[in-house]
Amino acid sequence: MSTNTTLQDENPAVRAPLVLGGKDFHGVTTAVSEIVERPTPKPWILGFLISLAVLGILGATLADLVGVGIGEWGLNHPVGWAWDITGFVFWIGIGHAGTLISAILFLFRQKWRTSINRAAEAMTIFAVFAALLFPGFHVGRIWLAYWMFPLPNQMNMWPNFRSPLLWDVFAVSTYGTVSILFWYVGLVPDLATLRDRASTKLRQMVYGIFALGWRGSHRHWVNYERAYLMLAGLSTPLVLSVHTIVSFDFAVSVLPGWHTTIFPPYFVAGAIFSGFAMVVTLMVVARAAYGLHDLLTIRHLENMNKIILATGTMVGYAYGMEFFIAWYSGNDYEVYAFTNRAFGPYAWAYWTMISCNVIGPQLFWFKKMRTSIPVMFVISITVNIGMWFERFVIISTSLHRDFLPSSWGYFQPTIIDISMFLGSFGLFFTMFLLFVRYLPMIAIGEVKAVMPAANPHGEHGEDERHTAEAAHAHG
Amino acid sequence: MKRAPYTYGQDLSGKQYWRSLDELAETPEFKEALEREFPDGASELLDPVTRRAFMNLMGATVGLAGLTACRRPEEKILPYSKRPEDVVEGMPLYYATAMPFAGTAIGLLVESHTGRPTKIEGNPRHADSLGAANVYAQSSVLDLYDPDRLTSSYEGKVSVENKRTAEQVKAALSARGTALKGKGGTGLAILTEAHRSPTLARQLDEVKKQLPGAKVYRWDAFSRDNVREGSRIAFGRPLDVSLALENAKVIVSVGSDFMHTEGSPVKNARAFASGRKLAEANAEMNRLYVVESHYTVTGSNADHRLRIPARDVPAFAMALARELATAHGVNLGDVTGAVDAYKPELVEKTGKWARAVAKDLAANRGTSALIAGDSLPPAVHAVVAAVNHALGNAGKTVNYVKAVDESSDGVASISALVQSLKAGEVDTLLILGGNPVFTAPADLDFAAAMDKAAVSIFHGLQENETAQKAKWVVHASHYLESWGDVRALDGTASVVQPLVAPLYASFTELDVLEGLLGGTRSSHELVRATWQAEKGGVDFEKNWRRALHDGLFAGTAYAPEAVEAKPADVAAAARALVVQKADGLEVTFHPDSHAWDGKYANNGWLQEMPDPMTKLTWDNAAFISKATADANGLRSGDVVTLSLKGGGSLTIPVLIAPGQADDSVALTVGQGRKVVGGVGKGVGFDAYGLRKTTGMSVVQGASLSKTGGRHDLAQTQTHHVMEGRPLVRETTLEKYRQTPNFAQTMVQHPPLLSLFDDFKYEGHKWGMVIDLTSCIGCNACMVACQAENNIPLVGKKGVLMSREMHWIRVDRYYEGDIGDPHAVFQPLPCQQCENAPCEQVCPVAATTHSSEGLNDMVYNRCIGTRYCANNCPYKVRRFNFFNYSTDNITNPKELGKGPEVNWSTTREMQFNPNVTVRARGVMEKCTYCVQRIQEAKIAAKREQQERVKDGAVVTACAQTCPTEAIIFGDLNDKGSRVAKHAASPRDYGILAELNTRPRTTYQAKIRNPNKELEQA
Amino acid sequence: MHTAETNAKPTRPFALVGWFKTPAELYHACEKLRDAGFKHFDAHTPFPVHGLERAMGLKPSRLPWIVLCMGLFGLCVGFALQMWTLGVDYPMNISGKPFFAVPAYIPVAFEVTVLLSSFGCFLGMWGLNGLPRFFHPVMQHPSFHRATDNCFFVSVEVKDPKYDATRTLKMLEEAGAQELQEVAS
Repeated sequence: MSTNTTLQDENPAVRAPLVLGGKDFHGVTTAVSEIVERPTPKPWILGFLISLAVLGILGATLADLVGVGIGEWGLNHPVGWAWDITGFVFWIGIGHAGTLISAILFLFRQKWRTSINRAAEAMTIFAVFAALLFPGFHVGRIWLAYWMFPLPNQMNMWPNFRSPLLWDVFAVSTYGTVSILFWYVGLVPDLATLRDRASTKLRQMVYGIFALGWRGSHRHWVNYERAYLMLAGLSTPLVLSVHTIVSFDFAVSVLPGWHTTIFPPYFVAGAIFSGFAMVVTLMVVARAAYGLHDLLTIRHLENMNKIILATGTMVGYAYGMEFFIAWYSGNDYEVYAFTNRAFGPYAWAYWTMISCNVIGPQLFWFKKMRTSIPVMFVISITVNIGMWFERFVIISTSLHRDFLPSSWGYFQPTIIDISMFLGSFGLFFTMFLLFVRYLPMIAIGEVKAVMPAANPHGEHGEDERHTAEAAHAHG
Repeated sequence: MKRAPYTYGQDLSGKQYWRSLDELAETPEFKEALEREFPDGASELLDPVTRRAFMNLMGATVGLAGLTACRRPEEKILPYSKRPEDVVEGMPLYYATAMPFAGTAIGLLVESHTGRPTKIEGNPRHADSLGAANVYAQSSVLDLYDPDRLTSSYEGKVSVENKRTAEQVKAALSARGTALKGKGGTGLAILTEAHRSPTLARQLDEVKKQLPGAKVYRWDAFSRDNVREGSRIAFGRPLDVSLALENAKVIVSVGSDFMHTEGSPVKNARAFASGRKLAEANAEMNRLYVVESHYTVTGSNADHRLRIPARDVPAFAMALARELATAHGVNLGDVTGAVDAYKPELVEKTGKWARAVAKDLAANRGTSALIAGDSLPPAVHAVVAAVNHALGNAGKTVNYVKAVDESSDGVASISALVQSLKAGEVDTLLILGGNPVFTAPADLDFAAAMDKAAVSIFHGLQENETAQKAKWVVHASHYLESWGDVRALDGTASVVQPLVAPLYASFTELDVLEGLLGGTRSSHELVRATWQAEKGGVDFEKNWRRALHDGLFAGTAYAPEAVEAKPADVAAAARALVVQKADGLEVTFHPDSHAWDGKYANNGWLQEMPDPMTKLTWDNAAFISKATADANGLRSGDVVTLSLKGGGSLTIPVLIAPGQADDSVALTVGQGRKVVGGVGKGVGFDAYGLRKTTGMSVVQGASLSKTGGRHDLAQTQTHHVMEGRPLVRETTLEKYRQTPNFAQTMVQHPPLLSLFDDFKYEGHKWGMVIDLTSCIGCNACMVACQAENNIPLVGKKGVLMSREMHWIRVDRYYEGDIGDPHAVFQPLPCQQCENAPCEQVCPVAATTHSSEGLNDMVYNRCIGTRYCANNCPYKVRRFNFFNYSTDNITNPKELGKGPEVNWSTTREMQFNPNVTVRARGVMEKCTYCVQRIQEAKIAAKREQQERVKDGAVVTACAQTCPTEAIIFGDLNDKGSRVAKHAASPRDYGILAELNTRPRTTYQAKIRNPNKELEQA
Repeated sequence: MHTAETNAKPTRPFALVGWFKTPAELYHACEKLRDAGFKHFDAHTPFPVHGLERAMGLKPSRLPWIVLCMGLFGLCVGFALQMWTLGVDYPMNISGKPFFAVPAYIPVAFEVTVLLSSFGCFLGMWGLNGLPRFFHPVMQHPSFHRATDNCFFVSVEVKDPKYDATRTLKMLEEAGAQELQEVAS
C-alpha cells in the first residue's frame, strides 16, 4: 500500500494518494496524537506568549471603548461604520472556509478534505468569536446590547425583526453554535483515541470525559455518520445564508454602493476566497512546524489554491459588474459612488484591494505557482489583506460621500481603531494555538477511513468475492 | 450621457455647477486638498480652565436664588412657600423684554420655566423683531448662565482676596461721588457703549448736572457715526436711516450688509423677503443689487452681486449718482457736478453695472432704495441720501428718523477720551460695559492711556482685557436680569424687563451711576420715573403695565422726518471725498460672525455656529479670493503674516472664500481674546491690532507672507458644490412664470409604487415647508433649535472630526465661477420621511413612526448601532460619541471633546425641562419639536377643540426665522399655511425619487435677475 | 491483569470479545455472525468501516425523523415569534411597512429552523447511541484501547440465544479473530 508519489503525479488517470510516507493506521494515529502528547515545544510557547500579549492589547482597547465611549474611534457623521464593521465582515468571511471544507466538500465526497477539515473548523469557530467582538463593542451603549434579543420585558418592547442587523444576530449566533456542534461531533472519536493512548490519569480523565465514553461501536457509527451527514447538510445552506445576511446589512440600505443585488453571491464568494487563503496560511505553517508533509500533502494545498483562484476570479467579476451596473442604471448617485471609489480620496484603498484580490491570485493558473509553498504563502496573506480592504472600501467609501455633498466627510482611523483590529488577531491566535496544542489538529478517524487499507474490499479480487457472498447471503 | 431610467431634466437655471475649489482647478495638490478633509486629531483642544470648579460652586449657591425668579417690582426673592403669582411648575411663562443690539434693539418674548429664562423668542409686536430673532439674540440666554461670568465685584485684580460685597461697592462708589462733587466733577470721565436707553441718558444728564465737570464718551467698534454724519450733510441734521424695504421694488446695497449685521437686520430681512413671497406664478418680486468686496449674507441673496475691492465701492456710489443725474434726469443739483469725475467705467467692469442699476432705479422712483454701508465715508452717505431724496424714496422706502442722540460713538469720541486721559485730565474713569482695551483703535493704545487715570472702574459681564487693567471691577447684570429701557432704530421704546433676579447680586449701569450720585433708587424705580415723565398722567399705571406686557410703549416710534436736501453741502462733501488708491492688498474689517466685536467670544453656541458663508467654526481667518491665494501660492489653512505699510502685522491662517474680491483681504475682529472664559480661550486671532483710526473699515497697502505654518480650520461643510444634483432647485422669475412646476419635473424617475397599502394618517399630519426663495442663510434657526432642544457642543476638535450635533443645518452651495460664485442656502432638518429608511434598519425599533407621521426617536431605547444614520440619505442624524452633555465637566479626560459650556450648575438652568438631555452612545435628531406639539395638543384638549388650530404649534426654527422661510403645520388641515404651500407648484422634496416620502418639502428658489446684466 | 481479575469473579460473562487486523476480516466475520442469525453482536472500529452495517444486518438510523420534526418546529417558532411580537403584541409603523412583513421575517425563521434541527441532530444522535456512557464491559478487553487505533474488534454478547461459548469462539477464530476472551458484565 506504500506508493510512489512521483509516478502517481505523472499519471493523471490515478489520483495522488492522500497519505504518503507509507503510513499505516497506527502510523496515522501516532503522527497526529504525538503532536498533542510530546512535551510543549519552545516555538509554541513563544508564539503563545506573543498572542497573549496582543490579546492584552485587545483587553485594554475594550476597556477604553466601554469606559470612555466609541468616540475613541475615528467615526464621524457621514461615516458611522468603518473599521468596526469591516473587522466583523472580515472575520466572518474567514470563518466560512472552515464550514465549506468540512460541510460542502464532505457532501461532494471530496476525500482530500479529511486532513484539513479539523483545523479549518477550529478556525471557523475562532474566527466567529473574533468577529463577534466588533458588532458587540461597536454599539454606543454595550450594556444594553442584549436588547437585540427577543427577551420578554415589562415594556413589551421587542426587537425589530425587519432590521438586517437583527438577522445578523440570529445568523451569526446560529452559525457559531452549529459550527461548534459540528466540530465537536467530529472530535469525539479522536478524543477517544487520545483517551486510549493517555499516559497520565489526568489526560485520561479529561479526554475521557469529552470523549463521552465513545467505544467505536459500529451501531454508534451508523447514527454518527448519519448525524455528521445531516449536520453537513444543515451547515451548507447555513454558511451560505450567513454571508448572504451579512451582505444584507448593506444591500438592504438605500446607500449608493451598498444598495446592490449582486452582494449575496459576491460576499459568499469573497468569504470563501478569504477563508481558504487563511487556511492555506495556517496549514503551511502547521505543516512545516509539525512535519505533517505526509498528511497535508502538496495536493491538498494545490486544491485549495485552485479554489482561491476560482473565487478570486469571481470577486474580480463582481467588482467589474458593480461598475457596469452603476453605469447602466444611469443613476447619477450610483455612478458617482463607484467613480469616487476608484478615483476619489479612497482610491489607494480600492487599488490595493484590486491588486491583492484580482491580480495576485491569477498566478495560480500556473501549476508551478500553485504548488510552490513560498508563493502560496505570500499570496494567501495578500489575499486576506485585499479582502480586508474590500470590506473597508465597500463600507467607508460608500458612506463618506453619499447623497448630499454638504455632509460629505472623510474617515481616518485612530490608534484605538487599529489596536482593536490588531487585538482581534490576538484572540484568534491564542485560541488557535491552544487548539493545536491540546486537540488533534487532523481528523485521525477520517484520515484512516480514506486510506486504501480502510476499504474492506480493498485487496485484489475482494470485490467479486464479496458480491458473490452477498448474493449467497441474501439468497 | 444617456440617463435612463431616471435623469435630471434640463437645469432651468442653466447654471453650471462647478466641483469643489481644488477640483475645479485640477491642482496637483488635489489629493492633499482632499486630505485636508482629514478630521485629523492634530488640532489644539480647548484647554480646561482651572477656575471652573470654583465657578460651579458659586453658580450652585446663587443658582438657588435664580430658581425663585420673580418680576415683582419689590424685587424680593420669594421661596415657593409663597408662590409668585402666575407661576405653575411645569408651565412656562413668557415675559416681554428687549435686547440692545448693534445700534438698535430687538423686542423679545422670553420663555421662563419656574423662573429660569430658557429660550428667547421674537416679540411679534415689536417693529425690529416682528416675532423673529437673530443668532445673537437667540444665543444671548447662554451668556446669562455663562459659568465664566463675573460673580462678584473686585477691588483690583479678579481674585478671591479682592472680592467686595455689594455694600462695599456702593460705599466706594458714593465715596468717589462725594469726592468728585468736591471738585465739581472735574476729572470724571464716563465711557459707555453705544447705548439707546432713555433712562441711562437721563442718568448721565443727571451726572452732568450734579458734576458739571464730568465728561461722557462712547465707543462702539462698529459705530454708525458716518450714517448720521451723512444725513447731517445732506439734510442739515443728524438723522438715522430706518429702512422700509417692504415698499421697495428695486434695492441697491452699496457695501451694506443690512440683512445680517447693519441697521435693523431682522426687520430688514423680513421686509426684503416679504417682497419676494410668490403666492402664485404671476406674482411680482423685488430685485436686489449688491456691490461689495467681502461675500456677506446680503450679498448672497442678491439677484446681481458686483464683486469689487472695498476701496472702489464709494466710487461706484458716485458713478451711480452721476449716471442717474446725466442719463435719467434725476435732479441732484450741484451734486451732479461734484460726481462728474466718476465715470461709470472708472472701476473695472462697473460701467455696464452702473448704467443698468441706474436705469432700474430711475424706472422705480419712490419704490426703490439705495443703501450705503455703515462704514462708508459720510460723503457717500450724503450722496446716497441726496439720491434717495431725489428719487422720492425718502419717507417711502428709506426713512430718515430722529437719532436717539447725536453724540458720536465712534473714533471721534474715543480719541477725545484718550486725549484727555493722556493729558492727565482724568482721575476717575468709569467704563460702563464694552471692552475698549481690546476693541479701541490700535494706534490710540487705550490700555496705556487707561493707566493714566488714578481710579478706573470697569463695569461688565465678564472679566476681559479692560477689567484686567481696571482698579475696580464691578460685575454687571445681564439684560435678562436687569431693569432698563431701550429704543429701537426707529425709536420704538421698550422696557428691558428682568426674567430673573440677578444671579450674582450684580449691578446695572443705572445702579452704578446711581451709586456714584449717592442715590438709593433701584433701576426699576429709575426706569419707571423716566416713563412717568414721558407718559405721565392718571393712567400711567395702565400704560406701564401694558408696556411691560406688550414689550413696548405704543406710538413711541419716530415719524419719518420731512427732509430738505442741501445739494451744495453734499456737493462740497463729494468733492472733498478722497478715494483710496490701489496699493498692494487691501484689508477690510468686519464684525466676527461668532464673537461680534468680541463680546460673544465666550458663547459656545455662537462659536460653534458656522459662519453663514464660509461655514467656519471656532476660529476666524483672513478671507482671500482664489486668485489672490494662487498669486501668493496659498492654500486654505496656510498661516500667513499680514503686514500693513503703516506698521502693524498679524499672523493668521488664510481661508479661500469664493466671492471675495481679488487683492482684498477680509478680516473679522472679535476673536483671539486674551482674557476670556474657557470657551473663548485660544480661539481665533486678534485682528484689532491692524485696525487704526486712519483705517477703521478699509485700509490699503497690506502684504501677505507665508510663514510655512498650517492651522486647522474647522468647517462644518467641506464640499461646496452640488455635483449637479437637484438639491436646491432654482430658476429665474421669468422661466418660473413659463413653467411654474419646473422643480417637480426636474427629476424624472419611475412611478413610486408600493407593494402594500400605505399607512393612513387620519388625525394630524405634521409637515414642514421651507421656502428657499425666502431663506437668507442667517443660521437663526440653528441656534433656536440648539437652545430649544438642549443640543450639546462638540468643540473645535469635534467639528474637525465632523461630529457637530446641530439638528438643523444650513447647507450652502456655490455655483458658477469660483472667483465670483453665486451662493444658495438650504436649511436641512430631519425630513421626517413617511417611508423612513432609518426606521427599518434599527434592530431595537428605537426609531419608529408616530400616528401623526413623526419619525420619532426613542432615546432610552437606542443602543447606538448608528445603522440609522448610515441609512439616512439626508445625513441629519446625530450621534453622541461621548457624554458631551456632562463628561467634559465630570471627567477631565473628556475636556476638549466637548467644550465645558455643555454642563455647569448654571448652564444646567438653561436646559429646556421638556427635552431629554441625551447620554453617550445615543442617536438624536430633529423631532419637529415634538414637545411643542404635545403642549399644543394638551392645550387644545383643555380648550375642548377637536384639533389643534393652525399656528398653535410652531417649531423653534420656524418661530425665529426672520423671513418666515420655514412653515410648519398640519397637512391634513387643508386651510393651514403649510398645506397651502405644499400644494404650490414650486414645492418639491429632495431625493423624493428614493420614495422616502419626505414630510419636509422645499419651495424652489426663484431669482429676479435684470436682463441687461444677464448677458454678461 | 485487569481482565484476569474480572474473569476470576464467578459472575456470568457479558460478551466474547476479539479483534481482527484488517477491516476486511472484520467485515467477513460480521457477515458470518449475521448469516448465523446472531442479533446481539457488535463491531468496534477506529473509523466507520464502509458497508459494515450491511454486513451486520443493521437497520438504517431513525435520526432523520427527529431532525425533520425539530426543523419544522423551529420554522413554526421562528415565524410565530416574529408575527406575534411585531404584528400582534406591539405593532409599530416602521418605515411605513406592514405589520406582517413576511419577506422580512424569512431570514430569522430560517436561522431558527437550522438551529433547532442541529440541536435535534446532535442530541438525538447521542440519545440513540446511549452516550455518554463512560464504562462499558467490552472496554475490559486487555487490547480494547487499540479499538480507536488500528484494531477492529468484534463482540458477541452472551445473552444472544445463538451464543455458545465454544462454538462461537471457534467460529470467530476461524474468521481470524485474535485474543478472543469473554469479558465480565
